[in-house]
Amino acid sequence: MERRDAYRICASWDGTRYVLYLRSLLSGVLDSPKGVWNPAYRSETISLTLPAGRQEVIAFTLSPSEFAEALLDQKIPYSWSAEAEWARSTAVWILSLLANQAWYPEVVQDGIRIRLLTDSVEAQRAYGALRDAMPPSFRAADPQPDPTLLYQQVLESLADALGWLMLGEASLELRGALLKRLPPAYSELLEQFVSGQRQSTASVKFFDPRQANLTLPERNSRLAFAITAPNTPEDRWELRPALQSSSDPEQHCDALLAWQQPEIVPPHFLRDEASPRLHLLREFGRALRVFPDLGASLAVSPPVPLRYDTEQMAHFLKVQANTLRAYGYTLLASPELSQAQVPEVTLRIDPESERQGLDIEALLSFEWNLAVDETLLDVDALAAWAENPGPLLFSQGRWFWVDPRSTMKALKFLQKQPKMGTLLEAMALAGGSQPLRLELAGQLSPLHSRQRFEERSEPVGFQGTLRAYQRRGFSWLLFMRRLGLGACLADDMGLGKTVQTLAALLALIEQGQLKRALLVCPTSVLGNWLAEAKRFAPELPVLLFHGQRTRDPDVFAEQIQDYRLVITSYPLLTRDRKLFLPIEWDLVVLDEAQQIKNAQTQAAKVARELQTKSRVLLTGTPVENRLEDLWSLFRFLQPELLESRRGFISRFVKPIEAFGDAQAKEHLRRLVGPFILRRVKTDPLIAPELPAKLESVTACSLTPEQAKMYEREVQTSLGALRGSVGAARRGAILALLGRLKQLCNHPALLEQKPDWSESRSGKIHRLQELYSELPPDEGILIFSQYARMVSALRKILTHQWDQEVLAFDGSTPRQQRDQMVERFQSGRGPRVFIISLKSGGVGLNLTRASTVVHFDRWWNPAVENQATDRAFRIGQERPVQVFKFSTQGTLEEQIDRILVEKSSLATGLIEDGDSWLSQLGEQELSQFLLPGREASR
Amino acid sequence: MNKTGNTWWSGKFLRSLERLGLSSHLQRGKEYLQRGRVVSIAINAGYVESRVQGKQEYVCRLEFAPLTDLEWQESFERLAFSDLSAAALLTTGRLPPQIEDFFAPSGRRLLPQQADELEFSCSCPDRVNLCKHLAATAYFFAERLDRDPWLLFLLRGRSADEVMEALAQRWNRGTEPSTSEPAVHHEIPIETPIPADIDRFWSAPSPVEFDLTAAPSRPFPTARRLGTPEPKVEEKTWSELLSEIYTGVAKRAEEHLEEFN
Repeated sequence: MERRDAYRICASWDGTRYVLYLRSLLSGVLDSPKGVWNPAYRSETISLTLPAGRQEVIAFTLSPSEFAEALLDQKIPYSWSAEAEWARSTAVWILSLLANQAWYPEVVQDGIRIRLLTDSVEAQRAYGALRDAMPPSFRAADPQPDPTLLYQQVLESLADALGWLMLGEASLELRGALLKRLPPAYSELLEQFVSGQRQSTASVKFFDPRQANLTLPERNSRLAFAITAPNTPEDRWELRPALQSSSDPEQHCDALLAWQQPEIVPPHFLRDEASPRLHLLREFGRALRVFPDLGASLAVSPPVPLRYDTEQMAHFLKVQANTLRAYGYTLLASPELSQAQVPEVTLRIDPESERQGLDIEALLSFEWNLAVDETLLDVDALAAWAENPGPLLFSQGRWFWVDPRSTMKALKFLQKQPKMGTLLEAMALAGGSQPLRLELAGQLSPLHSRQRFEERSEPVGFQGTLRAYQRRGFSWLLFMRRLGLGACLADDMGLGKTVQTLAALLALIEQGQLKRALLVCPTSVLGNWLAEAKRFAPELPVLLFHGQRTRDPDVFAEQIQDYRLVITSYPLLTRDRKLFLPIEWDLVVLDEAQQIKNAQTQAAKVARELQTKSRVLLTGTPVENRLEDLWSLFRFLQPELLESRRGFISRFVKPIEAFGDAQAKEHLRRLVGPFILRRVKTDPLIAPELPAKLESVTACSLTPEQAKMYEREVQTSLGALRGSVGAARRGAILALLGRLKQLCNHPALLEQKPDWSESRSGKIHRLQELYSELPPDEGILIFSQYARMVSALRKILTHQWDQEVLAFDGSTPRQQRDQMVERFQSGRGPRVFIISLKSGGVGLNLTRASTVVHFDRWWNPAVENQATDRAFRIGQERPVQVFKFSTQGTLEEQIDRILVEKSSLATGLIEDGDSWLSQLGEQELSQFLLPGREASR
Repeated sequence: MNKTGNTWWSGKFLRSLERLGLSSHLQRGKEYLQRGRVVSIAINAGYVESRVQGKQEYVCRLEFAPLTDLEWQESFERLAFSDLSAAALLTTGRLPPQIEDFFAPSGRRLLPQQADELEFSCSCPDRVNLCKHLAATAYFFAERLDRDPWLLFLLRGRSADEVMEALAQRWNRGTEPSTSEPAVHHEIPIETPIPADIDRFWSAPSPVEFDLTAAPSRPFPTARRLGTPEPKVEEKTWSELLSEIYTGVAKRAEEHLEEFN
């Protein structure tokens, strides 16, 4: 079956129309089939300028209105390319200007146009930021050499189109009584306008350009106002006009000084024709029209700054400051005075003096405060302010511009709070509706800073040595358990979450604090856990609860008496919940915790119902970035901490994801931060501890279909082999081995009419899990020995991971290969590179990759190593992680075992490769191909 | 009494004409103007001349008493140094409310107030001194004046450029002619080639790292900023209608923004 390509909608502008076309991540820019989404779009041949040169494609041409509608359409079945996404951001920005009334209608020669007013400070910033963010691909259909011109045309046409669209949707009916009071030409103009007649040839205008205060002329600098605060509440404030660069708000000069010494005005603050004084005069004049008080400053010669007493200043901040901002004037002041601050409630707990043995029940004293930007506000100053609340607050020699309402609210909240409470109560308060910052000091400070707590040494029963950061991690797990708090260990994949967990488990057992723990993980890593437990904690009695198993709760309760750790999978946790729920666990560990990221799933529900003294989550994904998942995880980990899902969404998810609210983000970090320990491989404290190359065998499982096919293949072939000898036997065995290896990869490799559904391969499933744990920019190399697997993986992964994937095999021309390598290495191009093992061995430098996956096993480790070394070589600055996929219960597991054990067989295997196997007897062969099962004969 | 003139200065101008005897013809003059009877108008240093269609085409002339050079010098001196905000407002097309303060000490005014400051004439056979043609001319002029208060200066004998030049001379007095380096001329390359690197081509050169929907805490009072298109349009009605449109558009835009969030 041919897979559907992964497409991107691309956009451009040809000077009068928008051009939309499709790009396939697999095969590049292509003709757009007519009617691919909106049959109304005109289709024509357009010449595009692409990096490779000009290309003629059949594309859609859209009027600005059609394009505006497409940008607002949330249901388009394809992803947007970066430049189309950019146009969408531009549309969002225009919408926000329309929502803020920052636009105006203008009568021009051939009708009415809707234009934007971009003179507010925010709009100026957005204007520049969007201009600089335009991907070059937006210029593909544009014949102009100047992208700035293109940008302006796009803004103009989209503003006009979106403006008319909103006007049309609003379907306004103007009040007749009012219209009648206008001269006929004007009522007609308004009626035409609201009914959407863009082409109307109106004889009159919406405004008089000489009277309208639109500040339309572009200027290189504009007036701003610098605030200087007095040192005492009795002294006067000073407000000085300044001249501020429009392009770089950081540049400004004093306007009063400049009036007397015009030469201090930098030349780039002025347009060609204006002298500094004339420019200043016009700026004064414009400002006077919205801020008449400025007149007092100019009424004396030479002009002087405005001086306000505190009450006048408060009035200025309350009233004029807002108007000035709306007209694009900036206030230049220290951060606490440049905008109204919302003081933060802080709760500090310092149990230094409390007795040892702090636990979840301990009562702690709470110390409450209000702070602006880390600075605590003085209690007396607050009391004085509260008697006459206004925008200005004087505390310890400094002035703060505060928002009176929220300050009052915070102050009242503060007065009602308890003076004592438990740690968890304090932590939950930090998640309440009143924003609050929790500061934990003394014994509790490790909850904020991971450097300062007692490090434990490895438990006696632990085989091997922990790296320093692993020792910190395992000690942290114990620390959290001692406080009675849940712990989420979110280290990067490969840093050893498994060993840290095992060490903590052993330590708890040795301290007599743990009788029984339950560990839940995805089915695909069950084997991995068992193997790791055997290796690092050989004495630990582990029960793998999987496969053939009891269904009887009593039998189960009896059975687990002999074990300290029970390992099971998420599907079984759900299916056999009546076995797990009655047990009182001392510890429940959820591995790959994103499995419960949806609180509605059965697994998540059962996990929450488990009775346990403590909880640990393990995950390699940066949980803090996925807000909704976070809520679900904490529902398990520390249910008292976060409020209802709805409350959580309105308080954190929306403000952060929709509005990028930095304060909400910081609050959330403070709230959940203490429960999460996350280290990344690139952390300078961690990196030196890591070996340059981390190799691990990744256990995969067969899908039920694969398992059935595998078994059948082995049985049939062994039957056919019986009695055969010599070259014929050898040939048959080699063919069988090849078929089995391919089967482990994907059954389609053996099919005449291949069905490449990704769900048919256990390895692809595993690859998917692995990928979801990788940091977003990490380069990945995937090797396979089958060219067909390489090209199939390229299609599957392009689609599944929704990104361009590079791939080559032995048949790819040299030049194309070099190009791919260059794109991969540049760091800007695709991050996934699939290479056929036989073609990729020589000479390539692929150090961008810090992850290497061997999708299938090679008999000879030297060949694998050679491939791995494409990434692990001079120039590589990060540790390289190598994953060798090995399917359990198949010959791959056996190959691996033999290689690891370095048994005498291995030498033969390596030196002689496949031929050695062909000499095995039937019994041995059967054991080799079906490990872990009883010999079939 | 009719509401006249859109700006305070043209209103004041018309009111002073009324006091000087124009009031009896105001209504007819307005009608003349609205019916397009004023064929042309020319505004020159010292006088306004118009052609008005009555029974036949008549030539009207409104003459202002000019200020003497000395009176101008004195007024310039005050405009330049006593209150900068007046000159600042003038550069943006507004007549400062305190404008007469700059002329009064010399015993003069910018806006005419007394009969001897103005002379009227019309070629019509009407015997009255102030006829409806002159009234129409006065209205027409007042409209122009709304948009350009500098016309008052012109009628007193000085153009806007001359006034600004005279002020600049005074400000520059005592300031050494600038010997600083000539302004650096920034050459901005207009042609930006399309990158040949496929991955640069298909991606944003810099991320937009702030909230595009960030907006001031309250909407712009844009309807107010636009003002009225001309004196005949009543300001309150106009701004109420515009506000309805603005609110309607804002509401729809907000709803769409919601969908993006």
